[in-house]
Amino acid sequence: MGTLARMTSQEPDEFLVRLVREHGAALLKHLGTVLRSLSDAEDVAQETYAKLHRLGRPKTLLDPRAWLFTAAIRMAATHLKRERRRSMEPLDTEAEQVPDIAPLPEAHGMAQDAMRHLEAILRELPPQQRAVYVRYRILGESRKEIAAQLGIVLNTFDQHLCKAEARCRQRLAARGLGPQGGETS
Amino acid sequence: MIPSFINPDDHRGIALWWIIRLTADDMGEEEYQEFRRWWLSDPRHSEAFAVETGWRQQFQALLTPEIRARCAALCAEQVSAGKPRSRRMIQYAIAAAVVAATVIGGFVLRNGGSVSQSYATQTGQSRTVTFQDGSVAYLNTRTRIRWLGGTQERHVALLEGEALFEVAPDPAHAFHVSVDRSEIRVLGTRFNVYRKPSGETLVTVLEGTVEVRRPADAQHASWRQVLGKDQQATYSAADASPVVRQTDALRAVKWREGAADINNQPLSEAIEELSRYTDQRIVAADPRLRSITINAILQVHNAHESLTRLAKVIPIAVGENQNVITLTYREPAISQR
Repeated sequence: MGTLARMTSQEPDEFLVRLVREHGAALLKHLGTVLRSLSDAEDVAQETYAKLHRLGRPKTLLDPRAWLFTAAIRMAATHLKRERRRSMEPLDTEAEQVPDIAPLPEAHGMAQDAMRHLEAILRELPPQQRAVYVRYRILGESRKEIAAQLGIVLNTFDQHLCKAEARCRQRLAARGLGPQGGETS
Repeated sequence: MIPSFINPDDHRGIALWWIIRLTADDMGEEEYQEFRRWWLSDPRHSEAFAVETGWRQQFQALLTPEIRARCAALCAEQVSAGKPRSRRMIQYAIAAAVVAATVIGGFVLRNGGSVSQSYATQTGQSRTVTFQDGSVAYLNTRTRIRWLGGTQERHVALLEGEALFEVAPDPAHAFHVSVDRSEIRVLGTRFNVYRKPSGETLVTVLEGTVEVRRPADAQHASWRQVLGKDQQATYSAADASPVVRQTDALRAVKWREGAADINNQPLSEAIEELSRYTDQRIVAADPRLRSITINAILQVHNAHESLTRLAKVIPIAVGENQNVITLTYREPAISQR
């Protein structure tokens, strides 16, 4: 937060301050899970905020949290690759090339519309996949408890979840929800 | 190991798999290193992982309490469709000496920090639940609800059974009850909701005003109905609109006193009502029983006793054999009223 405080004292950036206040803790936790290192997570979060500050707020931004997380994970990969190479190249040559956040739906209403189809999409899933997905992802129940109740091992649980999520994501994308071009490799 | 059903070229799919594994709390160091190699070995992998991460945040943000409640209802449907309620299982549950109703489970949702908690009653039980906003729900027999409210919204899903809601007034935060695909919206009032096993839903208002609505879906147009005091709406999934009638709302909540108010209804209605509170099966096979109508207040917690009392005024005879109560037609005797 030190970096942010410094840079905002020079040039107040209300948007970024709010972003950090609302999502900073969650982001740090998520980065910790992905990086398995608190110091790396903190570094990446700082670098991300610094970069977002430089780039300024995108003109059309519907989901700041998604935008922040995407940017931070991109930054994390850059950070790790740089560490691995131990190169001395300047910090931003590569980073500046990835400012574009995956395009989000044009209107929030459109996202809401697509979500209205979630229920129908879930109905199409095989029952066990649906149970795993709804209870774990949507209702936040415990993974171990759900698996025990359904009588499946945790590996099967993960596979059900993965299939269900991929399916939902594809069906929602067909309705225009979600980052476009994600499937292109 | 990445499961074989994911196409090796499907970078988003593999990214999704890794996110699931990373958040699963049983990922060992070796597997984690496998993830790191995948993540950093190809810019397409890094990008897919970032995009997938963002998408999940976006998805979570779009999960409104209403959508969550509707999805919860979907799960309830599935359980009752997949596993028919087994009599033996119910008895087993009762034999487990569950005297008071049980909290099925409480947990904190990952998103937004709102607490979601389930409450249920077994056959013949009732229970009072006070939510964090001060609203109260009285649960009747065989009822399951889930509180999904947070600081911003108040939301309850009625998954099964019947509940009387006393909503704490709060004009800033509407109180929602989801029943299957319909939703009841209020600001502060008392109303009763009964989700019948047949799929029919009854909403009865004791005080204030409520709005019942159902959003459109692929098969049905939307509808919206405002109900005032002593109005009752009846509808099922396929109905284009609810049927609304004037009623004495207090009759609908007689169950709070352990009674059912059967007001000029066929005998079958009384049997259906009594069956809710017992695991005994009530059999009425004789076709002549169909023409009998009843106008009475029945005590619901002892079906045999209530029917025996009824037998004094209507032409039925009551037999009981273990878990079956049998009703037969009795020729009207001299003492007939």
